[in-house]
Amino acid sequence: MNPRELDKYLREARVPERPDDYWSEFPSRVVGRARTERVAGIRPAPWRLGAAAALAAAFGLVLGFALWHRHAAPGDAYGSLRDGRVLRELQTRYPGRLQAIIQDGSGLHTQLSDSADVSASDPILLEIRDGKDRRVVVTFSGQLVRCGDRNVMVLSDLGGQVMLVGDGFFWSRQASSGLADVVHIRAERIPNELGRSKPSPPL
Amino acid sequence: MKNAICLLMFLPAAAYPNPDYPTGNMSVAVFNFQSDKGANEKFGVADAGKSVASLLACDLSALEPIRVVDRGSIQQGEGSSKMSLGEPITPEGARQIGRALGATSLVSGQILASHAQVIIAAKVVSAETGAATGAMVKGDTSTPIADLISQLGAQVARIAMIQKGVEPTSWAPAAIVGTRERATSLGSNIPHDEVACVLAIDGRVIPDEVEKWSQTQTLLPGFHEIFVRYYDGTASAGHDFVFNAKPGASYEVYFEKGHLSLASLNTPAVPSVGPVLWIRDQRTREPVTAVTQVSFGPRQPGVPTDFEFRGLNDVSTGDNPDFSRSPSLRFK
Repeated sequence: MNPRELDKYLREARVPERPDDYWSEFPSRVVGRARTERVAGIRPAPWRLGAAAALAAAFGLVLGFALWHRHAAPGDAYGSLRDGRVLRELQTRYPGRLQAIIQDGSGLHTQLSDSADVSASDPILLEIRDGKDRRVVVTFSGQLVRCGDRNVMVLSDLGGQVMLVGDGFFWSRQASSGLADVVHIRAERIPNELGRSKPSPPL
Repeated sequence: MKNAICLLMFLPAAAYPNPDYPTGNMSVAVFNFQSDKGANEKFGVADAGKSVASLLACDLSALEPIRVVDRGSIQQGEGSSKMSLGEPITPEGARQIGRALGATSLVSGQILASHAQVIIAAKVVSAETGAATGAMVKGDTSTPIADLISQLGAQVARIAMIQKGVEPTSWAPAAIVGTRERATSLGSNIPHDEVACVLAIDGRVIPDEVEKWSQTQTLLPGFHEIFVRYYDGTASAGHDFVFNAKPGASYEVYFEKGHLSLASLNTPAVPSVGPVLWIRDQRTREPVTAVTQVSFGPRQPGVPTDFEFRGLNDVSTGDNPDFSRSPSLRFK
């Protein structure tokens, strides 16, 4: 239909027979419908709503995953080892038995004595990088740890400096001897709120 | 009476003396240190670990209020007391060894020596709690071993005091000077100076020692080997002494002229008698070394270039070294 045919069609059209009250209410119905259709016109199509919901859900999942993994990230685990939180928790759980807490590529492990015979010495945090391997060890002055291919004695001095001593091996911040080039060590004393347990006086 | 009993019952348990660990008694047991072949060669002894442990025990004995357990009983393994730095020890194990030896702190250690440096590490274990604390000293080729062990001794003593709950202290160094007298020779009225002075301490030579006879040399508390020189303007004599310097003490090199005979003056074949040399405490004037008659040498005495601290050999034979050894000082 072209414009001329349309014009002709409209001119020939007749107004349908309606009661009088229909025409009196007609303007208000037109206004009401126009308002209704305008609102309907700006609503998103149902598929858009679904897509947005799916997107939000996916974002939520990603965010949750990221937050979950952020809590389990090595950096934060290192922090909780470093500030003594993990140590205090495990000391409470295994009083007098905890020899070391070791975090390596396979996770967090504890090294426990069979009986409550571990001396209450200064807690120490060690980070040992041996090539690509990285281990974080929380232990106490006077305990043995594995460093490279040997067992070494961990000691802290009165100034809080840490030293590792083994057969033909020594490491501290001031000096080292017998240390392989690929092995890098960081060490510090951990603040221990539990404190040293003093011996029970004789009764 | 009832009140007194009640008071006794409510007294804190810590107020009662512990018979095993009397209050204020800090008794340190020093076990043989571990050493490798390199350390033995460096120190020129068969067992550097044993020598260093003996020297450390000697040095500790000079540091009040520290007491040292007799090394003989430790080496005989009394009470099955064996301890090494490389082995962890349980609180009960430490208590057992401490009771057997009458010690409040147990010291073990290790020596690492290379061509460039010497590291001596020690582990000090409380015989009451088993708590372990470390100490270390490091030196290069020029650092006297006597000073290293003296420094280690001070660290160990402080740890032993802390382990007993006593405020740690520090120990002042000792001092040593020479002496000079104005004299005239037999058959002459021309006065001249006779000087007995410190030539070297633990192998470290003091340049222009005769001119600096009155200059105070400091000694860290503990065992030292002092090379002394006597000079009367024409002839020299020398000797080396090993002694344990007490913290804050002042010492002087002292001499007495040898008794000359007319025969020795008139007959060239009879050697002139050298002076008698010793080191004495300036305050008490008591000798702290053997009083030794020495001979005049043909040339000026000097310190051996391959100096090895004699204390390592002397002390390893016991806690009271024999001061009357023959002089090992060489003449250039």
